[in-house]
Amino acid sequence: MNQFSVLALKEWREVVRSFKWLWIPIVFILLGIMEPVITYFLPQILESAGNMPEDAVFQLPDMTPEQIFLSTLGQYQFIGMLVVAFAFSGLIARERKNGTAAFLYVRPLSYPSYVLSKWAVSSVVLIGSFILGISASAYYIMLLFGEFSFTNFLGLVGVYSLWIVLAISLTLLMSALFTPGIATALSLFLIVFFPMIDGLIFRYWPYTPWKLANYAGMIMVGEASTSDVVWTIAIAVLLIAVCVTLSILISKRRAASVTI
Amino acid sequence: MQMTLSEIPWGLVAPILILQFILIVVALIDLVRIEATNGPKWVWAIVIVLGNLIGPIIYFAVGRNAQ
Repeated sequence: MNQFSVLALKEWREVVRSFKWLWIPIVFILLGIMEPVITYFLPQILESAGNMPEDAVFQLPDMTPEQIFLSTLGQYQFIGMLVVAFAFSGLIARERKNGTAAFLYVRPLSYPSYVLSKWAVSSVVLIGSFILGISASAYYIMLLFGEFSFTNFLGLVGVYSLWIVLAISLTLLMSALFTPGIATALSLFLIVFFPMIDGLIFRYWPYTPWKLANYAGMIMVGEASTSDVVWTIAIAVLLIAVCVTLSILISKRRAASVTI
Repeated sequence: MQMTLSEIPWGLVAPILILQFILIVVALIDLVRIEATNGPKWVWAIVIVLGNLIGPIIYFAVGRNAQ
């Protein structure tokens, strides 16, 4: 076995031991199911929970399946990304702090395999969870709100998966650069907060990778401009490559500062 | 019109309840097995049980990371 597969196996054991393989998919599936169910039963929920006057009439807008997909994505953008930032920002930083890194660094370690194993295993866990969650959501949306375009759905899944890989790469870079606390704070800023203000800052520049999640929704609705999406994807792929390369270089340089 | 228990579409709601239950149980198992948490264990037990969806998420995200 080469180093990469050994280290990837170690990462996978860590995923199993920390129950990440179980709780992250469950969170994504729950968020995906709850959104359509709550929207669908909102009139009944309001009726039984709120102290509405008898003659109050609520005109709730009719929701299309695409709109429910948008609000599911909104949940993933907030709670999903919080999970990414909190659960994965310790990947390198915490190993440096708690001494696991010292075990690894005294061996002739290939740093590309070390970083890439973490990157690959985390991406697989998160993309798997996302696909399970969005499929569960799609099933409920089909039952409750009707048919939607399957090709658009595949586009949404593809583009959002790329955003997840980008989020993981940014988190990993922060983890390589800083101590656990700072890494978590900066990851939160980069993948939870920044996508929200991206629309304000880069309003007239359609290619920032932070717009990927928006584009995923727009593809579902069928309003995305192809050239914008393609350029954004290209830039995102480039940014992912830069993040991973930097993480490798930095964790190599930081090996000397490991405490035992 | 008040919705009675039998009118709730259990076929649709049951998966949510089951998954939430699994999440809570897994979080509690992990809490028992783990050596130390970020803060007292009994507080996390309360957070997990009472926090329905958000409780176990916060536990896994923040509580597990003992220094």
